[in-house]
Amino acid sequence: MSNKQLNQVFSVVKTFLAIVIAMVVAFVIILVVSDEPMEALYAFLLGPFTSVRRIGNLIENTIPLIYVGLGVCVLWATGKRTLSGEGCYYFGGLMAALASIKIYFIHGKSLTVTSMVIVLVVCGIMALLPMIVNLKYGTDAFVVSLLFNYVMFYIGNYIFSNYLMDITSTSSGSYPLPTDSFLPTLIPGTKVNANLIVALLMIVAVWFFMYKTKWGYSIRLVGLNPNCAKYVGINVFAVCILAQFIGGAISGFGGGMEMFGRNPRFAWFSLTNMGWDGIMVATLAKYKPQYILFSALFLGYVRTGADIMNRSSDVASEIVMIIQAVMILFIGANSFLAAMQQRVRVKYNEKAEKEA
Amino acid sequence: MGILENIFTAQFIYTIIRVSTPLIFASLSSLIARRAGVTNITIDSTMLMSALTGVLVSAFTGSLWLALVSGMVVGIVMGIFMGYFHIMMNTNMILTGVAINTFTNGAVVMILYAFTGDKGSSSMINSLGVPGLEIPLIKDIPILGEILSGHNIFTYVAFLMVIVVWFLMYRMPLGLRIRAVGENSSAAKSVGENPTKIKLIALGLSGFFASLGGMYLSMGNMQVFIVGMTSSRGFIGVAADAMGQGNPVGAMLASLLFGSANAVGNVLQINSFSTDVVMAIPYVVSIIGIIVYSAREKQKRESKIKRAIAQAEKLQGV
Repeated sequence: MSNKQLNQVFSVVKTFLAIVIAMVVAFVIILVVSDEPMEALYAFLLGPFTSVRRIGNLIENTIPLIYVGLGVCVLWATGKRTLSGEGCYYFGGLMAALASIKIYFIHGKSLTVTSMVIVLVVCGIMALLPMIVNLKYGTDAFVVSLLFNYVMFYIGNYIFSNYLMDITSTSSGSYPLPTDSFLPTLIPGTKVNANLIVALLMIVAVWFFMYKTKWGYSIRLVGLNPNCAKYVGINVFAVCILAQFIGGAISGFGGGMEMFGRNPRFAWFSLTNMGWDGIMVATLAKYKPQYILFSALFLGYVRTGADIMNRSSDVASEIVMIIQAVMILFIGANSFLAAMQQRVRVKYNEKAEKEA
Repeated sequence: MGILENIFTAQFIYTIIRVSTPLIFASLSSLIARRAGVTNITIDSTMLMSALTGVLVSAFTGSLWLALVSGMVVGIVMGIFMGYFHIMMNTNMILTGVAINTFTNGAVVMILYAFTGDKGSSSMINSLGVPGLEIPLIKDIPILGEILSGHNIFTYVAFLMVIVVWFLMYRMPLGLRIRAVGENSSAAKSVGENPTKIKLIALGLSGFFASLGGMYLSMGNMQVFIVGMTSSRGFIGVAADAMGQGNPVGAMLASLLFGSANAVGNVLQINSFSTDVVMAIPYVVSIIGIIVYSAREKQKRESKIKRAIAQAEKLQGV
């Protein structure tokens, strides 16, 4: 077994172990907290599959996670880690609502497309500031992006409360989005719509971009070794900006697509926390776009299960956050199992030497 | 002129100080961690956890001191826990932060639900609070007394802590060690320091200050715990510290700026103004502040290099 194969095996084992540990922690908590632990466990583990509507919920919860996960994959690929996904997701939702409500001369699906193009461009541009000042002046990209998310939120909230707020409606939120711009429903009886297909296509597109194009390769090279990338003549500045633009655009795209079909009105009164969720999805997928579907599905599954458990038993749905946290801690911990990996590597190398 | 009348009063300045108190604690918390080379983004959740601990312990034991001590212990433990995963387990700083924040936001609700049967607030149980303090002589001075006296004890502690932290960072061996480790971990190691230990101590201290900020919210400002009551104050603390450039006094001033914007926002809201613009100002100001600072630092570095090159060329020429 070569070193590369060994690393891959350990990466899989580590992810699997982290999930197992997290689930065990969750079971222990349920056993301690609940008066009827078996029913709670049943609702948690199998609940999402008991009806079409619940499977629909599972898929609905998964779709936005796919977008934010992909967003973080690209945002973090250059090694400069920013939080722009959070602000962009919010702003994407807002821009989609703004465009589809205010643009009155386009109708139907072409309005959807126009709005989403606007979302892509605006969110991509909004994500750039932290990266530009980082590259130009060496400021901390993470802190600036964290702060700029709040700026984005307040700009968005200003637009929302001054131009979109529907005061006449009883439900607080924006004016309703035009119904003819909604995406067609795929599974009757649920809210699963064409967004699912777009999300799957997006995974393929991001994978293709990152692994099969010159630009994607440059981004990954900068992430591996920026000095090397500079030496072989890659324009590091442009590459970082490009990654940030695409990552922000994808995150915003996810927020925007949520508006067409799932929410009849825009009603986000705070940042959505989806940017942080995206970090979790991407970490679980080892920052590889091809695994995003599985990690998003897994997170969507535990969330839907926790929701159902919350409604049908005495365990609070917040347990899902503890599961996620434990998982991320163990997957992210580079020293977790490192000693064992080293021992196995030494053993294999010794064996190989003997045979040689 | 309703707005101006509302702003230029002693009461308003009193409000600024009140609103800034948790921000000062949060910025000091961020300062110590960042000086040791760790961007602590778990301050917000540490505050929340300590706030809950203080309320629950005081409600179930009836002892204020026990509540304060256990709140602080929880804060310190959370700081060291972050340190353990970030430094000993070699986990990325952001990931550790995300995990701990997620964990706390979930755990807080579950614990609250288990003890009070309510998922939103602790209003079902009676918790204790830290009282306010009238300062004997100052409270009789006309305007100054109105501004400075009658604050919660936590508020006075906050300003005291600014001095303590300044003293710690610049006049004590531990502060020097923290700064040395933060600036160059390897260099500190080469002279026999143990960076891991010092970083853990710094994160413990960071957690301690965050816990004070959290307990001010649930035991000083109000006497109830509400889920999400920190409302990102921990992150604002990180911003205030970044704007203060790692100096405790700077961090305090930046916290007061954030507090002022918050207070002005409240006044504008009463006068049915859009608060969003006002609320965004501190963030915009601190972003600009950080950019200007690092641009100046970069310029300094470059001019130093240029001078060195010029000198070298001169020497060669001779």
